[in-house]
Amino acid sequence: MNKRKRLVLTGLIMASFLFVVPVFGASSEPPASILIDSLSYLYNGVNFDHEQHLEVTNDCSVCHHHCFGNGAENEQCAKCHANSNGTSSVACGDCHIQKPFTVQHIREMEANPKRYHLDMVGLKAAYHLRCLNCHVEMDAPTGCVDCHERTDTGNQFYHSGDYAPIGGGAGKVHE
Amino acid sequence: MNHLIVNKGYQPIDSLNNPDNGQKWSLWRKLLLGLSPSDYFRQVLRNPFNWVLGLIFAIGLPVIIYRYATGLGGVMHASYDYPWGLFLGFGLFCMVPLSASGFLLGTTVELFGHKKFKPILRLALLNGLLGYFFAVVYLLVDLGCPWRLYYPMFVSWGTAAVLFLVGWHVATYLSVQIMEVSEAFFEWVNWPTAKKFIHSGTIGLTVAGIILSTLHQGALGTLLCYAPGKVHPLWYSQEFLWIFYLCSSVFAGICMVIAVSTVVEKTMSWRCGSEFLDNLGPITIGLAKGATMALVTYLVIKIIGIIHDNEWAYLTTGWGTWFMLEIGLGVILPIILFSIGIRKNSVWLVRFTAFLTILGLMMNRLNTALITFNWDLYQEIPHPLEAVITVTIFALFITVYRFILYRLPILYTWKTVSEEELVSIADLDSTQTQQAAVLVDTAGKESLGPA
Amino acid sequence: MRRISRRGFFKVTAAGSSALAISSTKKAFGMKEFKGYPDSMGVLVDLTRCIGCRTCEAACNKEHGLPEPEIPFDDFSVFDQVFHDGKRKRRTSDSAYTVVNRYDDTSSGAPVYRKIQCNHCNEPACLTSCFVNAYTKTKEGAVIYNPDVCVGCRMCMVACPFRIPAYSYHSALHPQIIKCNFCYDTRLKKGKPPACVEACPQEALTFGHRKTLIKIAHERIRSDPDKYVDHVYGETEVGGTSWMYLSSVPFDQVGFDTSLQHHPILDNTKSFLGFVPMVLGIWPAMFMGFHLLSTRGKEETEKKVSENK
Repeated sequence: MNKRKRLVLTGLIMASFLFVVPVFGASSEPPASILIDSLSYLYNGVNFDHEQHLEVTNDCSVCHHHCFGNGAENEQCAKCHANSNGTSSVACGDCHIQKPFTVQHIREMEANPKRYHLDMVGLKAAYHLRCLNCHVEMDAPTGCVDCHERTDTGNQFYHSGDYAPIGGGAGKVHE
Repeated sequence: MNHLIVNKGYQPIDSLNNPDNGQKWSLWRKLLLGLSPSDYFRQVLRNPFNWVLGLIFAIGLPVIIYRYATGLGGVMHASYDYPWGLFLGFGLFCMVPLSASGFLLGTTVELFGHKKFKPILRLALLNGLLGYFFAVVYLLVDLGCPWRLYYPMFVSWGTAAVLFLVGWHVATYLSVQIMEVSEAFFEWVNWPTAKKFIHSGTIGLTVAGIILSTLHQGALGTLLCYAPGKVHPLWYSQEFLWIFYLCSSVFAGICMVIAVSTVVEKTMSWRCGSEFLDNLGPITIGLAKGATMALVTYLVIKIIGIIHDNEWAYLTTGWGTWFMLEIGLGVILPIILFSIGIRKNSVWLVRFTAFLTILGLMMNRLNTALITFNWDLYQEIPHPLEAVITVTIFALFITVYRFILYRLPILYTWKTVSEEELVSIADLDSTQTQQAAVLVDTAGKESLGPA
Repeated sequence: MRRISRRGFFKVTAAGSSALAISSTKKAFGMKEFKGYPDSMGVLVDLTRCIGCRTCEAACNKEHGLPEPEIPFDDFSVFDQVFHDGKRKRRTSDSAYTVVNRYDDTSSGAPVYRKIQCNHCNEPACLTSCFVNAYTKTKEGAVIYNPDVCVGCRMCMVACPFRIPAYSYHSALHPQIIKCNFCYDTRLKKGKPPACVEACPQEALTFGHRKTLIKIAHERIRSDPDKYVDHVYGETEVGGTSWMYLSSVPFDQVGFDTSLQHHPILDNTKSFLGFVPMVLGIWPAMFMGFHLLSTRGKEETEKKVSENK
């Protein structure tokens, strides 16, 4: 093959990747690590090792539940949702809202019992419940600071670290 | 005082005028029992009981000041599980039933017309008045904000609360009792119009007294119904606790009258009139009969309470033993001893039994409000300073009691000399006045009044 | 017959009727029972989610400016604290509206954590026992306390079946009851959830209308019957409370009093309080009757005696 034809062929092959990659992009290239910090206040964000968790679970829907349209485990749910579709996004925060107990959300939930027929937790609890339940089973770290460091605000909040009471605080913890 | 009577021929004041000179006693003189200030002071010092009182006040009064200066936390365990201690346990729950004598004797004498008990009526009324008054004093020590004592009256009403009833009734009943005792006071200060005014309302006051007393004696029991699980089942009864408290207040009040009259007869007989002293024996026996009937009734209703809530199993526990001890010593034994005493007309057995019954009543009240409270949690013994304050206020109660008994015509009859006789004495010339004075003077002893 | 003086008669009537007037206000306004305000909020405490992180304690402390604790809020040695010879774990105090305790002796073998705070009952014992009306049950469901009228009698502390109210005994001039107020002033009034609810990382605390929470609670039990004991604690206890609990182990193993009555504490006093106006109505006539009967014979005898003289 002459030089020009080799260049065109390489270009075509490379260009085809441009079409291929985006189509399979969602399922083939998950990020290796994610910084989960939308709620960071008392704690810094979590440097989440996505790649490792993918290896351990080998199934996206273990964490990203209800997202892939692959049927329901719970037989109660399966009665209606056996053939339900997946979602357009797998981000936790797209379903689990940051402030679940606002007046608007409570009213919305009570007004739409069919949509909210199982009480869905907010984003912070979604993270903790899903992560920690598994971590407890798998003997993985479960301490607060094992996953996210305390911020200075957090230390003040907990009266911990630099803000720990010196020689006992003013109040009594017991009776 | 006995020393003065025996050695100096002292005669207690019992009438408007000084029998030596026909002049009215001044209030100051009456307060000093007709003695000169130095004589009065000397007799105070001579009395060993006053030394005991002095010691109690010397220790107790600073502790009371400390309570107000530093808050309740300084004199109590500051317990959130045991919010009430001795101040309410003794000062309110014990003293109120023991002060039921007022309405009991009032009803007996004025409503039922048993004039036989008239000589002891005023003592019973005074006992009731002082008991309730000092229950309020205990309350002022116990309340977190005693300066707000009047709040349930005038500032903020919690009308569904049983305490609301207790508060209003105690306040109203205190007024009723003040009016009933005021007759003696008005005699003593010589305000006959005021006395007549009060006397005309005696029936009304007595009926008001029995209404109010029935309700608040019962209400004190109902207070514990707010904490059904916290009081041991043998002492608790949702339906009947108020009846238990009402019924026990009947024999408590009666026995307190017997007890006080015993103390009075032994320690201040010089102050007692002949009407009082001569009739005290039969009166005591008569009171004992009433107390026995109330005790028997109480025993029956207590047993009904156990049957009603099917609490027999509890009797076999440690608490059950304690319960049976309380009923045995405080109810059954007094029934037996009273019955023997009444049959044998033994005033002294009756008196002993009255003291025993009072102890039994105190046991019951302290058990319900304090000792079996939180029976399934942990036991807490009140702070020692609580005991100090409780004893101090009780000593104050005794002091005030004695102060009034020494002066007002409670134990004796006040002699009033009519105006005509006064004028006729004044008309006599000086020798005749002296002769008349000698006649009036009962035993010809030298008197200590002004010459 | 001994005549009652006019004055005496008026005095009886005055005493009786004024007492009656007072007592008629003591009746519970004819309402037999109060099931809570319809839009009352509540909190469902799911003990299967609580991990004992004590963030709620810290949030409460911050929200209300409570005193600095003796031990940091992330120190879990507090769970080992026992008092009174081991008979009592931590409880609410004058510096803590809420505490979390750990219970180790459970039938599941695993420790269970429980958050303790005022349960904001529908018909609270504290409110109904207070004779100066220091407590109010707001329509949002909070049971709040007014220190400006409180006399300090501590009847509410005796009455509360959950032993929640604490008292600032060490204050000489401003002692008051200390207890959770559902963050009423700072949050509930403005439609916001309490600080502890917002802070909980596991949403062990679910905030919503009480009626909805009961449905949610039963739905959780129904969806996962092996996970939960089939009981919502506080649904009916002492007439119903706004803060309710779900547990994975029997409630008495985690410090709940399961012997509590299922109707309000106030009901225990109704049999007596109902009798009060009866006494006021009947006693005067009855005792006047006794008086007339017992003195009539004596006066006749006295008359005869004086006539025979």
